[in-house]
Amino acid sequence: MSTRTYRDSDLVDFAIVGSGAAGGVIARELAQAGHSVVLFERGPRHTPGSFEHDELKYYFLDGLTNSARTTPQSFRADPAVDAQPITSGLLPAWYAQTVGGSTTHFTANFWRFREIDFRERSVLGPIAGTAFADWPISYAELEPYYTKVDWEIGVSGLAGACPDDPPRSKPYPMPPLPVKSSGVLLERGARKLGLHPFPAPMAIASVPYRNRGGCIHCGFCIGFGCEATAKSSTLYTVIPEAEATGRCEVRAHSYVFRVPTNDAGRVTGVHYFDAERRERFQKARAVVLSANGAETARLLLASESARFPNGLANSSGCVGKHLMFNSYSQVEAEFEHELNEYKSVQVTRIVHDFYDSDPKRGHYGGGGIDGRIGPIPIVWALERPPGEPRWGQAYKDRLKAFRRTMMSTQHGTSLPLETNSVSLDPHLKDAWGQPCIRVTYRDHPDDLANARFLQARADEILQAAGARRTLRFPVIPATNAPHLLGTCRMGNDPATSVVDRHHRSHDVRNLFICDGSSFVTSGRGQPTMTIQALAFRAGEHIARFARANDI
Amino acid sequence: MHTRRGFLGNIGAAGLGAAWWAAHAPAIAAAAGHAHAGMAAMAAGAPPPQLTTLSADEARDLDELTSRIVPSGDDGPGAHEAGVVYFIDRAFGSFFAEMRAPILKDLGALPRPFPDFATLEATPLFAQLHFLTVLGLLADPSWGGNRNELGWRLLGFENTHAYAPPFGWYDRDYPGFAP
Repeated sequence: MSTRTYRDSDLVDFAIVGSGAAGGVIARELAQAGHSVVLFERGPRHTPGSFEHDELKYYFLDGLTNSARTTPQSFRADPAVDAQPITSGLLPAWYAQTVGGSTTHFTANFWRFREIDFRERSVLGPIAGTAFADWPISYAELEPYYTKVDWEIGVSGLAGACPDDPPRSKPYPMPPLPVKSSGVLLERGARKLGLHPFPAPMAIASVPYRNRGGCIHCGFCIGFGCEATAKSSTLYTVIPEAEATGRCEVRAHSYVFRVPTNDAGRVTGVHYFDAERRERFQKARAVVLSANGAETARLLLASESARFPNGLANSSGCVGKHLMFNSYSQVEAEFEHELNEYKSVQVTRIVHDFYDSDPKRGHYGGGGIDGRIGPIPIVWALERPPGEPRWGQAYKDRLKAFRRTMMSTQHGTSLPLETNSVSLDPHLKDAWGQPCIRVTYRDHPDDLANARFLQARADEILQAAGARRTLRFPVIPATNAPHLLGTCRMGNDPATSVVDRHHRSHDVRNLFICDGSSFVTSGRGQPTMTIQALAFRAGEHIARFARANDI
Repeated sequence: MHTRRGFLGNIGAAGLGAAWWAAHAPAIAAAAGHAHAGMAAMAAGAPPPQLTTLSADEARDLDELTSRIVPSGDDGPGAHEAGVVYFIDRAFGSFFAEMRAPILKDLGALPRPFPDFATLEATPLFAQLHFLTVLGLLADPSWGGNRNELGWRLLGFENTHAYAPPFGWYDRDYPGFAP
């Protein structure tokens, strides 16, 4: 499928590790700028026709995601105790392992961050016991790249629909997706309460866009690949464009396990396992890590050496730390008539009235509320909170309410804590003999309070919309997440951050890092839009450095 | 995306790996083919497919227990009619092989007649059986359950490839978004 291949012995300009949200964008930017690029992807490459509507395959047999069987992880809430190995079921750091990364299976909620997200520490002041900090860049600096994501990746939405929308230089390229019953009800309830619901910006083509088909409303977004090519995955957008330059090779089934350095303290390429698990080495002038907030940190820590004894690019000690999941809660609601939420995209309306933190609430935090599918059949039927019937006629009656049910989920802030981290498990090895990810995570009390606060607001909205019955799922401390943020935070001070404002590692001149790990704060959930805006910006800067022979 | 946090994470033996998948893909494909053939045969009035990994006693016990989770009744078929036990039989021989031994061991240790579900609900066996019942009821029929899409019909889920608005009762007369 790639239009160009390189030999391991070819000195390519860039080895990029990870073909997801950030890696795909950076590959295109660098290839279009004239550089030779190998884009490494640990998973396989799928074609649109190979995606299926099969819950069992994708949710229970790791059809697209990392697998506990081959790459277990361990988890602990308390950093003082040994972590428990997770060798089956959902992994703590859960992501799609395929060309396109998690953009193949995401829900495609594409919220921009707001101005406040980048300077919240200055506005609110410090929060004791946390590493709460400003970003080294502002919304205004990132805005042109958000717009680039809207247009180059493809986002559907309605500019100006939200009164508090951050400034934007262009409207969305596509209209919002057609509203679903969940969206109508969220909008109805929110308006009754004086709130300001608006069409959800989604990275799904509402109409045919740039040689891709428009959404066919099949309903299989969350956890599934899009056979209609409507979902704006990097698999369908920037990656083919990178290949079309004739300078980018996408190397699937290639697991990068070590980034070596030479005596000058520069990286020289990447060690990787190919599909046959043979160890290979690709020479490169510079390396870009975009493997996600868990794997990027793992790779740096696993690349320790005499010169970098605490892990590569880790003189600050920050690699792997300040992991943020985004706080999360959900409310289910049952209505009189059929909603049929299994049809079409997952979310069509959202409420951002509680985006900003407000000291009057008694805790730090803010977030967004959506109305959505209450999810696909198997997950919905399995996921009954404690106290709800799980057998007998009462359970069967619940199952029969499927078409009349919707969910609202709440997405919010997570505070950066030094103790929440990705590190190398001291005992656990994966099927390739490499050290496994150990996740240490305990939500800050404010994050849980924020999740409960947003959940109560969502419950009020759904009741105002006329729900017959609402059900708050217990807000429990997170033990796993698909949002993996903050582990190589961006900053101006090399003592307290891993990468600079251009995503160059402070310690190694020709090593760049850009993905969710770059985040300084968590935003209010839905991080992919910001990951991709950062990636467009990073790609532009890295290309500039390469032109100046400064890589 | 946000997947289901917490609750699904508690389903211990549910996740099986890619390596296992790769090693067993041909067997699964064969099993899926078998399932299709079985369904076609049933549709034609033929006897149900043969059990491959469960004994007749085990199958009868599992049928009884899973039918208590989703009972049959005047309001529609349940786990029994959807062929959940045949799904489990297939799963134990292929894609969830690791679940077979612990479940059958716990099943064998259950007192007869079976205890009330109010007692059973707190046990690991119930969690596993609930998991398998739901999958046997609602997974794509190619996996051996959800016979004639009875599980999907119970929910009202349609297996249609594409839809067009309006999708539900509440978005039918939506006048359009006004800021």
